Amino acid sequence: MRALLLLSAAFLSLHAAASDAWPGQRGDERCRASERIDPPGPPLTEWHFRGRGDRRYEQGVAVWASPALAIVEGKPMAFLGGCDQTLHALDLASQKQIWSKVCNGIISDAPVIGEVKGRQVVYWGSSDRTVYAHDAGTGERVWTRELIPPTSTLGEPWMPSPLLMDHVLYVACFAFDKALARNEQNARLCALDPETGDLKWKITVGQGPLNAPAGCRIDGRNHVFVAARKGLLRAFDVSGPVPVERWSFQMPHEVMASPAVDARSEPPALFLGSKFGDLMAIDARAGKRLWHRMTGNWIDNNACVGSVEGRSVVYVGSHDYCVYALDSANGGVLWKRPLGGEVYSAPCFFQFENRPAVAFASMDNRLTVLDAATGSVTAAFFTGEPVWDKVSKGETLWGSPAAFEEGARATLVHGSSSGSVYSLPLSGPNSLRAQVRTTGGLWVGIGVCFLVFVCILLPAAWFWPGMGGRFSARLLFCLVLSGVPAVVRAGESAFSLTPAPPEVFETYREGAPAPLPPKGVTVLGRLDSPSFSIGDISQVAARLPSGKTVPLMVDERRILREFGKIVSLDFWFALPDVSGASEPVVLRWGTDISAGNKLVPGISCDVSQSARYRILSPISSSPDAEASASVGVIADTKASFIPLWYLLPMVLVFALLTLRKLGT
Amino acid sequence: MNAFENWLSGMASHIKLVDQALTGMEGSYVELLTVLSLGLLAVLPVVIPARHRQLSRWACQVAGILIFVFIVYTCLGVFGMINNFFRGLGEIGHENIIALYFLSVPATILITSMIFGPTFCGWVCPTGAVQEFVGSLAGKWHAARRRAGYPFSWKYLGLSLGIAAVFFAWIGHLSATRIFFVEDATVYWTEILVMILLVLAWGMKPWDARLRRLRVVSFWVITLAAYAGMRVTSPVHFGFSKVYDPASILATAIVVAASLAIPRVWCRYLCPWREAIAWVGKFSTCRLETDPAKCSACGGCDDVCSVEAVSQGVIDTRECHFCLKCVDACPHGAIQIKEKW
Repeated sequence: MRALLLLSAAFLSLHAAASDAWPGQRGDERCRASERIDPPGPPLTEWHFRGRGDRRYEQGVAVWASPALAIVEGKPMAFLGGCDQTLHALDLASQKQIWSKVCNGIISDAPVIGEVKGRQVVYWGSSDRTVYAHDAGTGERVWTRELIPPTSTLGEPWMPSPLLMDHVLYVACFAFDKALARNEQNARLCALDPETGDLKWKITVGQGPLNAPAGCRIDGRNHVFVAARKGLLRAFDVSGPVPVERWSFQMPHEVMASPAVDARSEPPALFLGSKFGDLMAIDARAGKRLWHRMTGNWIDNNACVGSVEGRSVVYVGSHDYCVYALDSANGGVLWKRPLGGEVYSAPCFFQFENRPAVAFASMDNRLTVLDAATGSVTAAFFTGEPVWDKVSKGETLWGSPAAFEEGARATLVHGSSSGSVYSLPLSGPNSLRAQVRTTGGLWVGIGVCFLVFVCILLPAAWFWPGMGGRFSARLLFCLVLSGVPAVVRAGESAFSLTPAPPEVFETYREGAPAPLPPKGVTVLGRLDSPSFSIGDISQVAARLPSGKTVPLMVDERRILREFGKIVSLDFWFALPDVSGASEPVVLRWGTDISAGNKLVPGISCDVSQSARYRILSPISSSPDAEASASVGVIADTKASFIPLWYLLPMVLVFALLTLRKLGT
Repeated sequence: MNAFENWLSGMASHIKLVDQALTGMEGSYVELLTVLSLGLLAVLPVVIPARHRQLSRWACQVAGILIFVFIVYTCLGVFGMINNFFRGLGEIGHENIIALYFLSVPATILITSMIFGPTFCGWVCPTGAVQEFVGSLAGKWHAARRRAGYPFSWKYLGLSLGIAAVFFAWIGHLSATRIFFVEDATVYWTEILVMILLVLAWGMKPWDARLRRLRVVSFWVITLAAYAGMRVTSPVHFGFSKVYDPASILATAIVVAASLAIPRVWCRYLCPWREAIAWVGKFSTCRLETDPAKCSACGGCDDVCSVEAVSQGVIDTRECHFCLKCVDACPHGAIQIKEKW
């Protein structure tokens, strides 16, 4: 009987492990962000995925969030979203995008993956205040749940990765409401049914943004840990019908990350870093500090717990350029390795060539793989220049790498701030591999440079007078001509419309110029709310307050289809007068609508006037909320000529010079 | 203003097409401001009256530093501009706005150099300006050494060895505290600069002109690296970069210190852009010419030229930075700006 119980327990634990492939922000509760392909298939090869590639980026936004990895129907797949407001499901073996789902807001954190009724489901939150659940294999919608009701005074919502534990989906959410006092800005932790999306309970856990929840089972009861951005870490017992707060712990500074949990240690421990630069080990049972270790600068991402030679080791990166490996029992430094830039990513712990390895992304735009036992550099990859002009450090949780273990091989998956998602096998040749210089290598390079200077350059400069003459006369022609072959490429613009915030409509130009009325007002917009789905562009219409229907000009290159339905389109239409902008224009869609909309090859328009309004979609008070949206005037077509004024002094100087020349 | 804009809009609605091409990315007007600022600064030498011209030049150089560091931070230094030039060429027809973004600075520099002479080097370049400001601290010593025919100097040798010691100590420290990559090529350019200083300690007179040929090598290396898609950092890169680059900080420190030993040492021997600008400057409509009838070969122009581009009134256009110090220093007005449109 006892053996049967043990077998049943073992089966249940295996089943539980199998049911939630990627239950938390960084995979398991130890935040190792790695997934094993067992048995390993053909080796994964290098792949660069650009996504839609047509987004404009604000400074410091998460271009790509961290990926979630899973084996879906035998395929090694990565799921990740980012600034392009789209969740991409990528098959790394066939190097294809299997499906994608457009949201109405950015996806700033990793999805989680679990199993519901025999099928794998991907869950993620978006800044459109909604949690999405889609079938991992097909992309079919399972359910969506709006967690924050829309108001006209709502700021950018924040919804980090959910947590899937014991058949409950925990989601933290926060949105700053300008209409409320600061102490009424409530952040909430919600528990949802992963099958239906039904809300089980919702509690207020702070007055600011929350980081992704983490969880584990302690003493037979499920616990969820939530760290607020302001540094307050709280633990809830969620085994009962209502959550019970067990303890809280105030970190010394802001916290951008979620705790990594070592539930196997005694006492079970949480590891969390703060922007004060310290890594705290906290007793998960009592909420007391076990130890703390200072690094030289911010820690703004998760730590992870790995096992090396039977010892539990905590890995964390800091903005002091260094990666730390600490003994999880006492915080003793096992090794410390400086990288080429501030380490902003969470670690990814995995097995490579039967040795433990850990990968970090750093601000020198490189992904570095270290031997987890010794800290020596195993491999490094250059992951491209960021899309931003300037980096705002420590303000955003940018994407961190994850890894597939394929037997002795391993492949890293990383959404880079350059705009690309990279699938990078660690074995074999790789186009992004960066040649790390060891200390010895650096000095050898300096020695070689000395020899080249003394043995080649100096004699050449002395004996070869033509070195500085004849060649340089053709340098610029060579420079220009060698760039010409690249000129004939075709492609698409990097600019796109998003419904919010309205500032992104500052300039919009695309394709052929549209005949815009010089004194009229043009409404530019994108329809891609979660409920938007039409079969044909005629099934959407804009209705003015007067009842008149205005034909839409739909950008034919911006229509996005999913499963045969149009789920996103960009449009513009002209309004005769801006004075009526206080009344909403209602966009309706449905099979009963037949409007004379037109396809246009592109929209070209400058929208730089201040008469912009935010799109509100959908109107909750509408009787048919799922099928209507209110769109205000977001811009008019009067171009700002201010840039032209900059040119006048230059024109004046040239004119004066010409006059002077004519005079002489 | 609104009324005027509305009137303009009604008169010529297609003017927005012009506006489109010049409006910058991210809703900013950085590129347009760059084109305008660099263009205006390049025009200034021609339009500014001779009186207080050098004062105006210094103001222009300060403006150049501010423009580059605070506005044109995407240029990534002298190497990065070549790299970005290629990137910009590749984006034409693909991402025209991005092409404008990357081409605006190098294109403006080359075009204004072709029209108004190599004024960028003498009036705008932030790297040159920093070297000139620091070098002016030892201006009298430089002039005395030059007049004496560059004899061996313990002071110079000590300074050069001190700079070399700083270089090796910093590299030693950095190699122990961070990992390096092949792209951190700044280290090698800095090493070459240190070695040039040491070579010149033993023979400035025979080596000066010869070592200036290294600019061509520097240009070719950077150009080929850019064409191959390699990312190579450069001195002063840290001022424009998105990340902290200690190797670049070292390079900048060495360039600044070396300019105490030799004026404009980076421009003379290693700057790849100086080579490109010198070439387009050959086709400039503006150039300096000496009237032999007026020149008394007094050597006044020799003393003021920080790059030794003029000797007894004879101007080497390949080396001239168009700072116009020689024009202002000539007591007989023998050197003049000539415009040949």
